[in-house]
Amino acid sequence: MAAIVIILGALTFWYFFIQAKQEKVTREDTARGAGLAPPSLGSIVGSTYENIISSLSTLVGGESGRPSGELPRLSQVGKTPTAGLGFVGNASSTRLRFVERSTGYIFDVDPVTGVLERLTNTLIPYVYEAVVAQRGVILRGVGETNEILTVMGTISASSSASSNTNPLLQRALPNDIRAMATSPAGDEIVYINGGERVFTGTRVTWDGAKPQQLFSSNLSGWDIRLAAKDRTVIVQKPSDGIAGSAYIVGDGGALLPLIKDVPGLTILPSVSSKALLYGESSGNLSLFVRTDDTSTSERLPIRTIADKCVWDRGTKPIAYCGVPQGLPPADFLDSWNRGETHTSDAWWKVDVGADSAELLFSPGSAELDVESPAVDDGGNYIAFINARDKTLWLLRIKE
Amino acid sequence: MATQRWVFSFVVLFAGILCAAAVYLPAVASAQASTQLNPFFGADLTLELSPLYPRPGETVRVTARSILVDLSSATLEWLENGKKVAGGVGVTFVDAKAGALGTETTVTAMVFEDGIEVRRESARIHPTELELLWESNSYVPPFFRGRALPSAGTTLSLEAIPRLKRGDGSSVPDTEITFTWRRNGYVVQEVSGRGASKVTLESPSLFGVDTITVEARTSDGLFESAASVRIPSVEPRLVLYEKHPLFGVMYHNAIPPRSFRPEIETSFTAVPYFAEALADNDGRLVYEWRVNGNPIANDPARPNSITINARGSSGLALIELALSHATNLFLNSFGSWTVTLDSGEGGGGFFTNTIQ
Repeated sequence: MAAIVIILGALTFWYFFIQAKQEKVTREDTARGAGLAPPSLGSIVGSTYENIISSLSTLVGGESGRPSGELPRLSQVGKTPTAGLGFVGNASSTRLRFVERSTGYIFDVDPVTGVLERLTNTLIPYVYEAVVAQRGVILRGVGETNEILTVMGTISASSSASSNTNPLLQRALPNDIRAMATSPAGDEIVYINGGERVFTGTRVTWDGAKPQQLFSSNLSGWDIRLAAKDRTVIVQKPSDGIAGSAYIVGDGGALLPLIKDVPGLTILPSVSSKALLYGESSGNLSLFVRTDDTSTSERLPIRTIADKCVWDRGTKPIAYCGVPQGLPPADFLDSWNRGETHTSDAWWKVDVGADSAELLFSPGSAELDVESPAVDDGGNYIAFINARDKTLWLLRIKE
Repeated sequence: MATQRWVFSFVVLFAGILCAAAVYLPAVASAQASTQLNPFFGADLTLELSPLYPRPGETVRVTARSILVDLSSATLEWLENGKKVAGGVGVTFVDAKAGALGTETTVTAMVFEDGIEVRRESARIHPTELELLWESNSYVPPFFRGRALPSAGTTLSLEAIPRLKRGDGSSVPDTEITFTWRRNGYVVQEVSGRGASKVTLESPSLFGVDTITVEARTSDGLFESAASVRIPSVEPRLVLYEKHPLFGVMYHNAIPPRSFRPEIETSFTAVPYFAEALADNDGRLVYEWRVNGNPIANDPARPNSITINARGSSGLALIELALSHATNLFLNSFGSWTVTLDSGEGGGGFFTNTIQ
């Protein structure tokens, strides 16, 4: 009898001991977030984005959205760093697509309503740079041995009716790609890679056709712009006060001068014409425009760099530029590229045909350091990254 | 005997004049691009081009010079491609416009005395283009949008892009062009030569500025061009960034000299812009960290990174970093940043420094 009592007592003790332990484990799990619902991959956004974004379309300057449910004129699409962005679709049905830097997830945003949808569920951490094209995305990061990794990603067709998110089908491009760009139609990529002082420019298609070598150089510091009529433009990476040149890559790899010996040169060729915006940075900033290869350059009445500009995709030669509202430092370009200085920009509209520039939008108290701007095909929206924190913003062009 | 001596002296003098002419005339010819020289003595005439290597569409001043003829009082007549473009007493120069690449413009000067042509000289203008591009192999981080600038101990990559076009429209390939590279006027023999359009040179020395010049010429002498650049040496620059656990190194946002971080623990990465290195953790780079004066041991794999935990401390951290190089004695860089971290429960103790 005594043995039975002892056994029952031991079992009771064991029960309460285990119970207490379970409660402790549960409390700790809850504290670590394990008690939260599993990743909501079934939702349109997904857990990661929901966890780190406080609200879509932060209203700027207290501006409220339109009663119809439209976004305000300027809105912050996300609060976390974005690796890259672009508009997809067409003029009548456009979506803003972007890549989250921390996860590599791809999202679509309806620029009218701000409705957000996550497209992929393939985790790719630390995406430092992304290019969004009509047929997919290019994700770039850094490997274990400091090499630059680049993959072409295609969003696979939906495999499940219950889920909108899909794996990202990846195809690796060569390591250490120094610069790259996609064609205006989004079906081709040009990149520069190499080593041992031989760097080549290569053109590939999304289909994976045989790569075509375009040119070679013993310099690695080139940027690429794919402009109108399949013009491949390469430009030396800039530094304040250091002369830079830009070339059109011709037949047989010949480099045909587009613009030469401009200090701190930044350029933006039009995707629909031979017009060119270019900036000079040498103590102060100047922005010039020319309508074609042979016309003379005109200085515009705004002080900014071409990297803060974007061409409208319509037939009229119109561009939009983020223009610093204060006076940037003398070595602005170098310190901006190193992340040491930031600007507070207003948006200006440049009408190349009229050689004029007018204020398009002043963001008020919002401090926007415009980077990587893009315009949709319909010419209704400008999306850009705020270089202060790499967050994604959307501006409706018309009031 | 006196006659023989006189004849001998005359012969020696004449031979001397011939030798001097043989030396002098080619020198003039090479300096004057494609000027054709009359081999006769007497009324000498040379044409000088300015600029010496005209570019397409550029205005070229052709100036007549003579040692024996007073051109300021002589009558000159100028022809451009056989057509008279200028003339008169003392008209010693004319401006001609270089054509497009592959064209030839002939400028002819005729000197008249008493209405009689005593001398004629022609210069042929072949417009050329030559660009000289450069960069350094100094370290810049991945995806950096700016130029890699040279510092002492790094290497310069230079590329000359000549555009020498023949009359038939064909371009002269680099392999048929002799490139002469100069640093501060002195020929760099090791890299100069036929087809040497892409070369590497040492960067300027510490605080130095070098003028690099390249001359390109074809073996037939028809085409010549030159370009030069002035390249200053910069000091490597240490820039500190937050290394975020989710977003990686925040290259877009350098840590300013004084800042506040709302985290208790933060990792930082230093980037040695323009240093002689293949990567920021290159084994030749020597990072010496100090936090509030206390030396911090480096992580051998990531010596350029440090993690600071402010729990239980005042939260104020003076981060100091000295950078040197194992083999490049010119590389010495220093940075300091005052960072205030959220210290959690408060306190006044020391920081916990975690190597990452």
